[in-house]
Amino acid sequence: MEGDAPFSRNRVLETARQQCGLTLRALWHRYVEMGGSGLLPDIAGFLDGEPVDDRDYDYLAQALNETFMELDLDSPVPYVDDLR
Amino acid sequence: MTEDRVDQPTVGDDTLDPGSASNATGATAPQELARDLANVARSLVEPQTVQEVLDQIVRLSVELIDGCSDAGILLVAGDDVLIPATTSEAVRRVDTLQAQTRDGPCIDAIRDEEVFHSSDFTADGRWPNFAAAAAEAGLRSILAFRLFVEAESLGALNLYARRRDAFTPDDRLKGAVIAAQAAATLAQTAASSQMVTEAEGLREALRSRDVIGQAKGILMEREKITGDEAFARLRRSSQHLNVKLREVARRLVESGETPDTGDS
Repeated sequence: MEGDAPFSRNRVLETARQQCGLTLRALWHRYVEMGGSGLLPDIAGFLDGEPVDDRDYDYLAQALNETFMELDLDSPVPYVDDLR
Repeated sequence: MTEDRVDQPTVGDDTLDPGSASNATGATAPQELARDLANVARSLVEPQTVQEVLDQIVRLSVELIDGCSDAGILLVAGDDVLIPATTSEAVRRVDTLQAQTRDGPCIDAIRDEEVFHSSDFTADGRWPNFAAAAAEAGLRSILAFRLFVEAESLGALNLYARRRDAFTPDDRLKGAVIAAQAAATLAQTAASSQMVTEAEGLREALRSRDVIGQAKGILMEREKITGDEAFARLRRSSQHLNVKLREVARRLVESGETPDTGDS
């Protein structure tokens, strides 16, 4: 991923969501499980270009990477630490 | 064959005998009609599951609509076709053929018309395959009501009769009431089922979130680190061990062992 500007994060998250076939609602549930406090419309906003902070981004990245893990695929979503 | 308007019954018509089920023209006594319609509303409020609602709809249709001998519900969603409830094998056969060939009044007409009526579809040339199959199954006329229609999906209540000209104006009114009540109940039931699924999903997520929160708390206390750092520690262990983060958290909470992150 190039840089960690908000638009890049959005794109990475949305691309990964589509790749693993996770519905927005299922992603939200998994994000809540990680500790996220955003509601479904917030998640939709994050994937659609709204700024997403480090904590929420990592929760979503973990939720997506666990989905890839279930599918026996490599975890493609970088964490904030990986981007620094 | 045309779409028929649902005529209102003539309430208070003194040609009707209130004590009999119907007069010579097939019109139901107003009191009986009102009672039947009230029964429809009452009966469809009670069932809980979608399947129970669908079964009730077809059963009530045959029970309350004098001309109706067989009833079925047809649901089309993209390429998928479901016939979740019927009162007879004849309807299942005919509606399956309609669904498979995408050819027949219940597929064609009901998308554009809320109500479709044919007093004798064997005499209609538009759906020859359907008409032949229906005739073979002993079905002669049809009264179909749209339950819902969306871009790629539709639902219909199909009422059949084994004789021509079977459906009276009162039958059409009863059918319309059953269909409207059925559509409303279906929408409500589907919405509440979705809410139950949603609640279950969130409940499960919150259970895991609680364990993850406990694990973070242990690490924060033990390592004197922030919550975000504790999450990062759990997340790295999840990656290293290739197990879900909630499982890493559960092990820490249950055993007290510091998660293995692979860092030396």
